Amino acid sequence: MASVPSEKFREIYNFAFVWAKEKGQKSLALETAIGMWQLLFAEWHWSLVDHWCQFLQLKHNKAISRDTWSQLLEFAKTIDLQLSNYDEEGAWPYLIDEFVEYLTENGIVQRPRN
Amino acid sequence: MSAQKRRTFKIEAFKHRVEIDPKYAERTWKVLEHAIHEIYNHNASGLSFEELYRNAYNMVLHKYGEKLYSGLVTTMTGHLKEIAKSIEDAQGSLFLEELDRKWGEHNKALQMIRDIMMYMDRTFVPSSGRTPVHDLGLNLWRDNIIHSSKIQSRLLDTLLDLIHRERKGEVINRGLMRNITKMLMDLGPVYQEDFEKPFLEVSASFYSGESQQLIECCDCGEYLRKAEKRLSEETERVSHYLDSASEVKITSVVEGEMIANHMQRLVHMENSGLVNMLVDDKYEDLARMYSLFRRVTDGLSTIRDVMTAHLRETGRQLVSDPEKLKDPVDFVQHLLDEKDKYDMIISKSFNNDKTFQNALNSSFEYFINLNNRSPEFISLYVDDKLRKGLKGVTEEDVEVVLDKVMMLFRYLQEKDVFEKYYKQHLAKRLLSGKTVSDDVERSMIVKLKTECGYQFTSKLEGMFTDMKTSVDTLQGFYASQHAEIGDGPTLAVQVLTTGSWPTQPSPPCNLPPEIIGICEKFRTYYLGTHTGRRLTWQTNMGTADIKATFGKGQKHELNVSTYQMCILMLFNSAERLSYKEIEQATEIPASDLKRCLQSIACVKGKNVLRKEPMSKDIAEDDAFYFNDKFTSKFIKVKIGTVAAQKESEPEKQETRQRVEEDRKPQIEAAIVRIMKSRRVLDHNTIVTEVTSQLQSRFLPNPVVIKKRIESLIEREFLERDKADRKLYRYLA
Repeated sequence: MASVPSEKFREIYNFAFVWAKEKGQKSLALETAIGMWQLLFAEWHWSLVDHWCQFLQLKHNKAISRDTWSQLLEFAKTIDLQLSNYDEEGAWPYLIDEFVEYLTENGIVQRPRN
Repeated sequence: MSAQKRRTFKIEAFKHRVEIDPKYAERTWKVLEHAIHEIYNHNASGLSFEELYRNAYNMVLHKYGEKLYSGLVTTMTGHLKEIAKSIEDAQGSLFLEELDRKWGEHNKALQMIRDIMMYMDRTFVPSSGRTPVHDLGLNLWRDNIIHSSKIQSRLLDTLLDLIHRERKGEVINRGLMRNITKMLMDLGPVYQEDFEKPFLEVSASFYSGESQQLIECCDCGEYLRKAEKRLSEETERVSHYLDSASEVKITSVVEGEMIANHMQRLVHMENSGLVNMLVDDKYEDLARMYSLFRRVTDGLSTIRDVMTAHLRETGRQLVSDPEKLKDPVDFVQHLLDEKDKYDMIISKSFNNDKTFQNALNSSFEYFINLNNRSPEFISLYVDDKLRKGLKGVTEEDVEVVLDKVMMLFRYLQEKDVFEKYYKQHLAKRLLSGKTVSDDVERSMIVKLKTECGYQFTSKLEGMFTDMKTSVDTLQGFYASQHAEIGDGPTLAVQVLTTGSWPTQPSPPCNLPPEIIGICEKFRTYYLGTHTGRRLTWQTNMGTADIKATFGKGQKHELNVSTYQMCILMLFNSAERLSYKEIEQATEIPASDLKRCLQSIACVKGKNVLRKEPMSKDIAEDDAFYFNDKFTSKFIKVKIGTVAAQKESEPEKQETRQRVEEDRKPQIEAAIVRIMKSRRVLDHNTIVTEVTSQLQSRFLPNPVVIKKRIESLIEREFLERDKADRKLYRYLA
């Protein structure tokens, strides 16, 4: 993992959700969310972003909640690419739990066994 | 007379020391020595107790106590050495007898000697710290006889040999044994050191050998019987000729060798082990196993674990066997029978042991919940019992059965699923008038209320209220109509309050004109007295009795569902109708229509209609005719399909979906309740708390709980803590 995103980046990231969603809606449409993620993670690199978007299109196909949006950054920030420090009891949003399952089941990531 | 002065007499002590003549001491001792000899030689009768006592007394008085004591020791020792020799020389069985006899004699002698030496015992002995005469006599016996090299091991070997022979079935002289062991006990630690310790060791190896032998050739029940016998033999042996303190020691040796060392092998013995005993209800063998195993560490837990594993496995097989699952009533009966069986075993053989009861309960809870149709099936079982027409079943019998069913109910993890099915089945029973008695129905509801609280049953009670109210409403309706009805069809209406009854979507169907009139009259009447309400005919839940006349004039009364009535009435004005025509005229939904047509056209004995072609399935281009040739030996023919049955796969999915939907708000309510009182909590604690709050109704899925939390975050009831993302905060 290259670097830790700055506080500024985090502010911009979280602001992007509010800005991009439709007025009066609570969640962000999936297409828009994917577009935003690709933009943002070009700025600060997260190598799993493409898998994440693929996964959402395959398995979720619904709008993205605010909590999921903001927690995704935390996930990208703290969890390493081998997912070795991912904790099932870590109170991650269920979509992220499912994403981890998706990655391991499809062999995209080999989680080290302890 | 003048007072004379009294002169006090004074006796003065000797001014010089008066010594006894040493020769006198020696002479006195000799007398006593001689007396001791005579006593040992059984010649005591010629002695004078008083004289001897006085001699001993004098010696002590004149400070010759030491001489007296040591003389006593020497003399007695001498005699004992002779006695030892005579015992050593005894052959065979006379050895013990001689020992016993000499011991008796020694005690008698000791008694007399002690009496003679009593003054010394009371004065010289304590002041010089010597052993009192009686104990001295015992010690000398011990040292010179028991511990004599030629006697010590021979004695032990003889005793052990006799015990061994008795164990092998020989009769031995128990009285003699008793005397000998009593002698050893009198000698202080001699019994434990010289006898008991080796006895226990030898017994251990004896029983180790015997148990090895027996376990190879006996089945489990036989083995246990033999072990029990050995234990009682040993106890009896102790009571006859051993120290009572040895009992617990020897029984623990037997328990260790015969039971503890072979527990696993016994329990798992093929064809005769614990599982076989359980399967065959061998109460006596099981009781014996319980009482024997209970004596050893982990004995009962061994039995319990094997019983639990067996129960879980048979239970698991029962609930996954498609054969057994075909008939729900049968299935539940199997469960009840299994429970009865084990209750009986625990009561008859396991002493109503609570830990076994718990193991039974946890096993049942485990496998009943393996099959997610258990709640539905249990409700169907109750439905079967509560229907009228069960021959020979009294109300009391039904009560007993219901109490047993409640036990099964308690094991269910998904009690809310049971509630849903119970409601459906109860509705059908009430509406078709098929319940064995109102009282029994209510008693079942009381049982459920006691178990689950008032909320569980409040809706069910609402159903009963509706039934009762409907009767009154109907009476009122007919009273208001009088002559206007005349020969028309008679209507019986149940007005159901929507919240209390199971929700069913009710697509309307077209009622025959003969019926519509009176239905409308009822609607008007009802809305007249209950403004602001809306009535919807539930055509999928009703029944009808129709009178039909067939080809040769035979009349029958047909009991059918409302849908079937709508179909049949069409044939009053048409000879032949195609499927499509029937569908159009009645507007009954296709799947229901097909099922109805099948039951009135394709079932032997109920085929009031004739179908072309005569296939079993209903096809869209089939044609139907009124079956003039219909016959039945019954005047009243029941064709309605209203009885409760186990659901088809799609119905089951639907019900399960509804249950899952119902659970979401309950989970959310629990989360909010908990967060409101605790304010800040971490994720895992919420999951634990929610689970514990809801477990009396169902076991919430942690993933569902997580989704509900996220939904509550979305709706701003909760938020994540800014510092620690694993904590949630309640938003007021």
